[in-house]
Amino acid sequence: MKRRLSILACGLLSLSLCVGSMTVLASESGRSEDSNIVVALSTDIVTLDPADTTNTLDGGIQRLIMDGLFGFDENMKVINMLATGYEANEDATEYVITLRQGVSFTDGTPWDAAAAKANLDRLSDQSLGLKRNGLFNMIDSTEIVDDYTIKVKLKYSFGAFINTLAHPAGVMMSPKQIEAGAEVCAQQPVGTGQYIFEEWKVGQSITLKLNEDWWGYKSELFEDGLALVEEDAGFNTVLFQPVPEAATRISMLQAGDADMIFPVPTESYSVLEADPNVTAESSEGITVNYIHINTHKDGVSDVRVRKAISMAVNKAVYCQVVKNGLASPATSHMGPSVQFYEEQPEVPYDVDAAKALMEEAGYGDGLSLTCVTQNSSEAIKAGEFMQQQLSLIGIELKIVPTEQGTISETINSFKGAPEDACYDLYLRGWSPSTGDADWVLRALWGSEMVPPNGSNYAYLMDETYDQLMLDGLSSADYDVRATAYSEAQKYLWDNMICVPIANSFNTWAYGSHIENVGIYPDGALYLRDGSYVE
Amino acid sequence: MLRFTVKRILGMIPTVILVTIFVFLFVRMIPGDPARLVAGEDASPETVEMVREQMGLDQPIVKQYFDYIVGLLHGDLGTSLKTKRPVIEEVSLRYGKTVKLAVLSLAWSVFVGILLGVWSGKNRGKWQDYLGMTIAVSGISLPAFGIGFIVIIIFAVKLHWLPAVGAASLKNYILPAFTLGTSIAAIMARFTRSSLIEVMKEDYIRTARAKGLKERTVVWKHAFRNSMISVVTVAGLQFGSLLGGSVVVESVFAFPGLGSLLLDSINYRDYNTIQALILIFALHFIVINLIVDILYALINPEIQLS
Amino acid sequence: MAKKKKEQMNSGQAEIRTPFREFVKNFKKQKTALVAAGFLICLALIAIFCYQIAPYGINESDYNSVLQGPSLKHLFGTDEFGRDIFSRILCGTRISLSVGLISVSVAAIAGSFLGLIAGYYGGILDSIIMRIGDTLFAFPGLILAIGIVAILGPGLYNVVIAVAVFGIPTFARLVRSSTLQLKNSVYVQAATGLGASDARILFHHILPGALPNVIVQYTMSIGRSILTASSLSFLGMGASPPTPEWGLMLSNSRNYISTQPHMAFFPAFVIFLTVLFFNLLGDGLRDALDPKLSD
Repeated sequence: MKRRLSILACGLLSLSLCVGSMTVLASESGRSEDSNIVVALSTDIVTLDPADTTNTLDGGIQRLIMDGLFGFDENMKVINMLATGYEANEDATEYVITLRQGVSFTDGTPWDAAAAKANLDRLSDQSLGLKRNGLFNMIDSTEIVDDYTIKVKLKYSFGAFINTLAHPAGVMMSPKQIEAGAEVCAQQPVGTGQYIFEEWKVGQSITLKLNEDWWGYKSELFEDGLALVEEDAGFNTVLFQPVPEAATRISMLQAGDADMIFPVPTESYSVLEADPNVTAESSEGITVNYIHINTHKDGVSDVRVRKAISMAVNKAVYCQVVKNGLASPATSHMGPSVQFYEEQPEVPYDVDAAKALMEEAGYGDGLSLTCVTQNSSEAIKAGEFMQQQLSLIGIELKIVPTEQGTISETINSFKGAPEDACYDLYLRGWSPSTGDADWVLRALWGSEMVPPNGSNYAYLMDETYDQLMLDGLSSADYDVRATAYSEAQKYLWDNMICVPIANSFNTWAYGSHIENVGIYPDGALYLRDGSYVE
Repeated sequence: MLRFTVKRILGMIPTVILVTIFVFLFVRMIPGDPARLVAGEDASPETVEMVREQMGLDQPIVKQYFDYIVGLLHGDLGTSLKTKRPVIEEVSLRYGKTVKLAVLSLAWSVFVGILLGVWSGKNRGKWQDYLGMTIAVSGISLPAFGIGFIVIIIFAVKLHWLPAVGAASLKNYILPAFTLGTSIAAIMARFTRSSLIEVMKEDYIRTARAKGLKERTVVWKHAFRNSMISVVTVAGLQFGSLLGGSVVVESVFAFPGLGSLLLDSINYRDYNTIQALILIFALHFIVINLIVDILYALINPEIQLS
Repeated sequence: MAKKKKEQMNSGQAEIRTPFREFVKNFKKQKTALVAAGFLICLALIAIFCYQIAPYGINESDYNSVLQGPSLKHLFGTDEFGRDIFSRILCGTRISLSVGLISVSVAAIAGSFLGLIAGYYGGILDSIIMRIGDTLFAFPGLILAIGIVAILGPGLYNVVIAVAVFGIPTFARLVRSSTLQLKNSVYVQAATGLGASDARILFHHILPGALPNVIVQYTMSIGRSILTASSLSFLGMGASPPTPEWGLMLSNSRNYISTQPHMAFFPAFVIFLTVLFFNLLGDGLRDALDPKLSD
């Protein structure tokens, strides 16, 4: 008995010594040793190759491992990352970019002009067959000016180039990995980032560990002497786990199985807000929810009907009922955080005026329309809401909840004439991942983007509008671009080519033992400043 | 015996061929463009075409089927259209977990189901019977996602006893195994009860009773043992369906098994993975049926003649 | 299998020998089944008169009283659009029952027909039908239904078709094995000897013998098809909104499960009760129809 006790005592003693030394170590680095967090996300990770990624969540994880030349701050404003500045020529066809010095990849390769060129060459090489090559199609060639300066030549004017470089697909990877081939890039990425890729259990989890040597911690690398983040920011390890069912994600957070979850369904937001162990946060994202209108279909081809629809949908009530207060009424065809946004005059909710417009257009007896939505419970709920609202002005809405796979064929890859498309209305959100007006105004309404070429669900084919899109890209000068996009937004609003309903909020939640974590307006994870409280 | 087995195995070949053709056409009949889904909503048509070429989906359909069969004969299940990894790798990563979950679900549910069935069966027509059967039938009267949410809320959120999701440790298996097992326990209980009632009427049971054996001995040693054959059959078939992984339960518990892989593959129109999974499920089904048939034949040689 | 064979043979012969009264007598002993039958009759009445009894319209939304708990005004509370859940559940009875009844009827008729033909004529026809049946069986049932809905598009009719297709092989197998045994029974052979036509033998002599098994399977399948339809709704491939289908209501409530449990509870509870009573009825029918199980 005595012996056992003494063993126990020894054990306890050594244990406490261990813990003690660990805390000492931890306090040296300003980070507690057990700051290992689990993040539960809604989708499974497909690939870690940024140039081959099309979903925002994968991009968010890649952005922790790899940094881009440029990046975004938490408000979606472009900031310098691995670049320290740029200069563009007048017609936006040549960009000279200066690179940050004293940075290296986590495999020891130095970050320099050669590394930048290797990356840009890979991104723009259309023969590689990577899914994001198309995004960098405008790059003609990249030249090394000196060790820390490159010159990028474009095939045509592209004023949104810097925003494109800040896109999650534009992060830089070690030249060694690029040489090793696509498979290595997809499975073992190496970058200059705050975290180092550690392990990937396919279908289960991805683990990253902290790069204590990250350049973002070193104030001496910055002109203003201020490091990108505080020295105690970051977690020892971050484990990402796909949990598709929202109710399950919430349970995990509440049960302590997850430290952060994203997204939080708006219905459950208030529960998490009320939970003292959990912090729930939201911020206005850049996703706008639209009623896309096929402008070639009978009835809705009439601008009066489209205006009637925009008057008959009570946007404020939509935000309350469908989004549980976690959205704001749309004020333009793009969100306020997107570059070149301009607020448009309010369209008041007015059922009588809408009815009068319907009457005027010859649809006083009613109109029957088909509305396609996705088949998630939130999309269906939005569809039901529209159905209820539009029934008040005599529009009978037939909702067709359709699974994304089917939409890919019947809408995105549809090759027939606009009037044969399967929808009159289509409820769908859009988020311009470059944060620039071009990737919403041209992507959704430019005539070159008519399906199957893009997402011009309105089938708008208007020369004046297309010219505005060209003007917007013709220069890197802010004012020149702003004028073009201001006119474009006005055109869309006056003709109600599509009805923007609301700006969605991003909603996320985390355990109260961590802080400063969040979501970028584009829906990617923001963990840069995150840290453990205690 | 050997001849019978060989004949049965040969007889399965047409079914397997039919399954491959059926699945191959079936997945392609579902509207959806895998190239577009993988390339992303805002991909240019060139990118989509390029992805389609990489996937081999630009080839004529007969050639695609031929390539698929040639691959199969070489033991190659193809490459996942979504992740570009070999399908065999995707499947093997999850196979063990689904098998483990199936075994656990079956173990508890067979045990509980048999106990409940025997309890009801030997008290035929009494309140125990009604109670037992009502409990059993309850197990197949709620959608699995409903049961799943209830146990998550109780055991993970309120009581903090068990993790809600994943497959990291044995603890993670408890809630999904419970959810999956409820319907099987119910089926087992009903089956055990009716076969026990049948057997209890046989002459040898009457003889045993006449000999003055204890009721417990009669029930467990004589009646139960003889009703085991049909019970084992049902358990076997349930095991087969469990090996397919449950789409609904796996998605509620974010369980990385074959069911969630199948659902994900359907969402992405990942033809190669769907084909491989359905083929595997079909093989499970066929092999288990074969084993059941052989067992029958062993027990009752008369069947070989038919 | 031989054992089963004997059992089914007996049941077939018993049914023909036993008058209907015998069955009624046996069935009356099944107390739970009687309760179940009573409940289901009430449910059928509700389904017929639902629009007359429902206190509110099923699409009557009121954004000022969303997500309210049960009260005197709204017995089962209101949903996310302020609609009365009680009224929606009442009117949903018609939908859920129709989905169950129609899909299983289609499956039973088609399956029994195929099973009769396969069992009676045997040979190549039998092989073809049963191979196709095996192929369908080899698919996990829900996956087949998901695929069919994906091909045909969403909506209640397609859900009914999907659930029906998925039930056909079960009935086909069941009827085929009964047919195989009845084919060789004395009275069928006697009928053949007297020169009765194939159709007459199939529908007058064999089908009635196989019927008890079909009836039991039919009752049990209704419950299962209601559950399958609700699982399809859970996966976003079921009825289109604003249809008050119970499964759709339950699946839509999943995000409110911790804040507004009443939204999930009531649809779940009626699904549970309905399926439970169909199954109890099925159990009772089986006990009453199967002489091996009766006293």
